[in-house]
Amino acid sequence: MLGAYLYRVRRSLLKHPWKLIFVLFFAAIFVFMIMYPTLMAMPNSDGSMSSSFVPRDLAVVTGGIYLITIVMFNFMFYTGLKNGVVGFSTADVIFHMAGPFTPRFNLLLAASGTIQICLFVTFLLTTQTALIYGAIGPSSVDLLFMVFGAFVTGVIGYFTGSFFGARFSDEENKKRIVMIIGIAIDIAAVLGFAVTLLLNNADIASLGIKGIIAEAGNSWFIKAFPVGGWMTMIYDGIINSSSWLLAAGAVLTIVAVLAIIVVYSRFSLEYYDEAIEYAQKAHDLAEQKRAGIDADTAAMTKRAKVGKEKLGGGSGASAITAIHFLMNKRGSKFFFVNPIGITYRIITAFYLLFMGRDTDRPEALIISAFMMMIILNAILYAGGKTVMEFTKHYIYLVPESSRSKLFACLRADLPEMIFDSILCGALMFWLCNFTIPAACAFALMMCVYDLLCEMAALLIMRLLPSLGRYLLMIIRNFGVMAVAGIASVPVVIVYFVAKSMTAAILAGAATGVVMLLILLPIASVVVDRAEM
Amino acid sequence: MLTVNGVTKKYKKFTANDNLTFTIGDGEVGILLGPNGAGKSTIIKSIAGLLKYQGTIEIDGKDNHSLEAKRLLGYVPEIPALYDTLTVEEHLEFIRRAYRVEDASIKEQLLERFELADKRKKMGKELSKGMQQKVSICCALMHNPSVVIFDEPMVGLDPHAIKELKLVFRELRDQGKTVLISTHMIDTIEDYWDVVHIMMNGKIAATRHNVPGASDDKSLETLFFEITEGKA
Repeated sequence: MLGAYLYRVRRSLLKHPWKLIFVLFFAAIFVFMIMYPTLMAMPNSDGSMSSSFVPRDLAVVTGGIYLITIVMFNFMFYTGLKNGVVGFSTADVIFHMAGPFTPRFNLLLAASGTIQICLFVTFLLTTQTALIYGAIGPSSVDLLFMVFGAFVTGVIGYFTGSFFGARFSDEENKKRIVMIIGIAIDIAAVLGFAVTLLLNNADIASLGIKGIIAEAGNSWFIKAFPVGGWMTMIYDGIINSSSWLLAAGAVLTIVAVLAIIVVYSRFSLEYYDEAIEYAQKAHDLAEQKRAGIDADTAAMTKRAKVGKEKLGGGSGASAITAIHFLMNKRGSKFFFVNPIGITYRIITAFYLLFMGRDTDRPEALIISAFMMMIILNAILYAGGKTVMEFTKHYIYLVPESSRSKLFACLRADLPEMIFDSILCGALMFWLCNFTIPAACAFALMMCVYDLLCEMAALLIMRLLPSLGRYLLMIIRNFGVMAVAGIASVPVVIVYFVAKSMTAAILAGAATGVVMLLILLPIASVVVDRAEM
Repeated sequence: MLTVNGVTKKYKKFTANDNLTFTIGDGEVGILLGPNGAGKSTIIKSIAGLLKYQGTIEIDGKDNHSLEAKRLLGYVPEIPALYDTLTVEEHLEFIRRAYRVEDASIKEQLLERFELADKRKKMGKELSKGMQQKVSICCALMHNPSVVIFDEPMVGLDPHAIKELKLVFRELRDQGKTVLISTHMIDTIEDYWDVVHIMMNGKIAATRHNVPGASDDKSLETLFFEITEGKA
């Protein structure tokens, strides 16, 4: 069974050798990021510590690892529970489910796809190494365990969840009970930790985010959390020289792994009906992608329901604006709210709170916030609605000029860009101690950059379709970041020359406007040169 | 009238369409028949203005990229591509507004005809592939185009919808419209075609006209297999 599967993987790799190059590239980045604290801690030639050195805050590091592994377990457990039987392709259905393979083996096959998600999430964690180091100074070994622990915990979480998902694939009630138990454990852990925190600390506000994270590392409610807590207890035992913690963590983790092996080998799994249904849906989606119809926004549309919203006015190209507003309302209740954008802002806010608004390195905090917002928005708008609209055939068929169709799409995107930019400005005012003029300038700059990223992505998608889907996506994402990066250069220059944050940000916005004025006329011609 | 003149489409070194020339007149149903990979969808997409190519394509004498030509063209893609969160009714309303169609009653007629009236509030993501195909067909007919091109339109449709679609083909022909259909299913076209172009390796290998009373020495099916199996 395994031999046949590995043969298929090997053939696929041989046909797409660039996948191996990407793996090696990401592995190199991974190693560099893990080594980052070691490099920063290297003393200068005169024996003094480098100015980049950040002292290790052991309590916060331990607490942080506990929280990360617990979050990872939860994420992968619920992913497995919900999607455990959806990772099959129609080829899997034909060759594996109808072939001489057991349901158990086939479930592991589907899991391999989700393990890739697990690897990706842990990779994302490593890309934040420099910022985490700047905040709490973990060592390379800390980071290595954080990544390794999160990965192993995620894998165990996925297998646990997917077992229940497959076991109760046609019994929604039982699946719901498993989910309720899972949520109850989460709530119990959070409440238990909150109560002990209240009992042990008279003034919680004075602890700050870092203090609370440090306290989490000491809480038994967190340590006892299934798999995530147990796994981290091993490392907690090692770095705090507690053989008791080390033994307890190791025993509990081994028991969890053995339990997974036992349940997978003992219980029969009948999930093929559901798996086939989802495989067909996945096949339809793949067909659409092959036809050039992108589904980057699929996650956004998942929860959309028909309500009282109505298609507003508009004829000709304006009809495109009208349907975009309607789809926005259906996706988020408000035509100016992008749910993914809101999620990104929450992540940014949490991140900045973690970094600390009263940090003694305010420039580092501003640079982190600036980069985080620009990168997240570059990704968001590189796959924005205007870009996606031009992957569907309707836009090309509508008998209006390409310029009016492009502007109709952008008009629909502007309200959510403006709203998101105001949030960005508010975050800078609140968490990075920006003045009101600087925060307003920042909001303006973000709005210009959002438009710029969308325009750059659209041009890349329309000019380079022959690159193929995957390469095009990669080049699109890196391309928009490069464009945003170029627009940001004047921000740095003006800040060092004029020493004014407002002037620097306005310079960035002005550069963005100039770049936009260059790209817009090109885009309005290029978008009509369709190649679908 | 649809005029395709010397159209060549290349994907790097691969020639998908090699100097294609054909015309489908007003009130004619033209068929592009051929095996998978013959280049049928490529020429259909080129006519719809979705691909770059060498040569000229005219719709009622107008370049197919012009706004006038776009107003006259209806296109049903091989794979329906609906908006996930727009309902069936909203899709048709969008097309009605985008093409500035004054008469709103045609929307209801199409919904009834393709048995979509009870699905009008369903979103694109909630529809089966067959239903999506029906919506795609309705969208293509919404603005009363004079040239309609269908790319494998029968795939995924139920028998009733196939019957209804064949009726639509005949009606369009009777109204003097130009219809071009690409398909690889010979048995689905035998009762309504006027001209068939059999495609092979990006070229038109044979053309057959449906002349009432004419006694062809070979049936369409025999001719098709002779060409596609290399016995011609």
